[in-house]
Amino acid sequence: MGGHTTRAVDVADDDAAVLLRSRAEPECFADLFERYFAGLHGYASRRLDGAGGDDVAAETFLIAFRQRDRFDPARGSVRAWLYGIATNLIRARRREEAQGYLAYARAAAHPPDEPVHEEQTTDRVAAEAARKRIVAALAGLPERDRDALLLVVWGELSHEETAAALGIPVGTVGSRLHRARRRIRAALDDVNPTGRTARHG
Amino acid sequence: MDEIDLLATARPVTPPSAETTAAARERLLDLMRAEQAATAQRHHFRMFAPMFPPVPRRRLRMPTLTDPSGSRRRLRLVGWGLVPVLAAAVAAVLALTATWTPPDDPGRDVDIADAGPRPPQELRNLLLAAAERSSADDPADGRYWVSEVESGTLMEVDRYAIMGRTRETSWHPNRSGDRAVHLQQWAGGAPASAADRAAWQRAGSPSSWPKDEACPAAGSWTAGPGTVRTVVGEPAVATYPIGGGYLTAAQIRELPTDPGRLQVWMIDSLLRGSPEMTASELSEGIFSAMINLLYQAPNTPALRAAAYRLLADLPGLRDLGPVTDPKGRAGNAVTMLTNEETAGVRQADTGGAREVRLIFDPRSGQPLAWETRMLRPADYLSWVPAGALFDYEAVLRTRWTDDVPPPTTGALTEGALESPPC
Repeated sequence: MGGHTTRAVDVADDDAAVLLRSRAEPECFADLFERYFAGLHGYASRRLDGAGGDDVAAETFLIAFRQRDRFDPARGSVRAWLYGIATNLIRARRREEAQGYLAYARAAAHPPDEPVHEEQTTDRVAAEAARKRIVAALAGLPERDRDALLLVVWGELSHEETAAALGIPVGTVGSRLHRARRRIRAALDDVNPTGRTARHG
Repeated sequence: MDEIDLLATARPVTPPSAETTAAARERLLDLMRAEQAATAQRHHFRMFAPMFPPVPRRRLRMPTLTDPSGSRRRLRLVGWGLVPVLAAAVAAVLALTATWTPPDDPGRDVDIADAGPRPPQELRNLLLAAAERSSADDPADGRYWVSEVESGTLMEVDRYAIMGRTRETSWHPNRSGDRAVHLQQWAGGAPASAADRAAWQRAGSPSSWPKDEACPAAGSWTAGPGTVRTVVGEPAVATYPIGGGYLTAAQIRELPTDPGRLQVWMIDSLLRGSPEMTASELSEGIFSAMINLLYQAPNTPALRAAAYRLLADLPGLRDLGPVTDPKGRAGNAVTMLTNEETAGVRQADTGGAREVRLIFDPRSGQPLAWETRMLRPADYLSWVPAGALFDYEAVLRTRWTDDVPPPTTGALTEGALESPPC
């Protein structure tokens, strides 16, 4: 992620310059599409698979282009702004999102035709079951906590960027993340009461 | 694994398909086009390669242009509804009708030597020899600069690829009262490789290919040549993209003919638009600028010599030795790897690394053609075979003349925005 490296700062500055320039020269905006579409599509389609993710990713750039006059570089990076727009769009489809998580949790741990080596079976099945519990638990998280958690873990945004994307203080991001983690951790402990999975940190 | 690691690896997704990316890009493009159309009337456009199929052209960096007063100038584009890779298309079709003063303030302290070692001595000798032989062969002045160019682009049709070619003869005015005249012709298409030919034969050897399966009104690409169409511009002195800006022929003649000073000029010009360019980006940007200067603008023998001498010291340049250009002419090629995801090179587009070849006649110093080969095609270009020739531009002839251009009755206007048929 490297959210604090000089390079990332340079990129963020350059993005902002491109965006500001696109106000007078709209065609410059195309650069931002080329830079961020694939990453943003990944984030959106993990939250809304199939056509839903495709739509959100595409619509994010349409909205961003229409609202480019409103972007304020003082309030965060272009990347954070784009992920914030996508997050708002996903929020409008939260039922579809939750259903997708539950469907994922119900699906087979691995495709029946995928060979599984005997010695790996136990760990792999256990990890897969744990992932399903966690994803199912996402469906039950309060929206605000889920947004913060998934911007960080699936969107790979820093806490600062997540704060900018959601328009909340960094400290609030921390407390939402903490709450969300506790909830999914509880879901995990349900399936793995012996505590074999290591604690983070 | 803790819960965060498990979540991070849960519900993985594959990168967006080329179709998904293209569809999203198209939606954005539609929106941009609509905005563009709303404000287009007052502005001048230039159709650069409007006959081309929806495939990207060479991606040029396009830093901001500023005029001497420091105010931003709006760039305008046309014909780009046909070219979906926005940034590339924009670079290819943009032109300014006003003039631009070369930068005179010193650039930021970036040393392009940081981009890597100089070319080996053998390559340097070759380029220096070409520089020596860039002889005086035309007056570099007149009422029009006329260029005849053949371009080719690899196009995906059905399940194979064809190389589609266009020809364009352009009359670039050198006086403010004259209009540009472009004669454009589809020059035919053919299966690109032996494998493409076999696939074409299995498909029944069709002699034309729909431009868009979903839109018959868009027409077809044909195996044979099409008719010539004429496009005429607004009265204005022609400008040419050089480095980070656009110059008139007169301004190009004033460029430094000392390779060191020419390089400083180009770096200033590039940094003026994109102040944060790294050494590697500058090296690529200068390479692009030399393509502009050698192949796409009215240069002079002294400037060509300076360009070859500059290239002889440009980090990252490699020698490919004797080659034939896309028109079968013998020449020498030098090449640079571009659009590679490496440290120091940001904003690479998602199509993957490519090699840009610059082919010239080492005996006369005459630029022949430049071409692009996809080395590691990815994303929207993943259908291109690795190593395949992707596009090219061959200079057939350039000259200065005081002749009058061909008649333009019934010609299309450059300002017209083509609306998509579907």
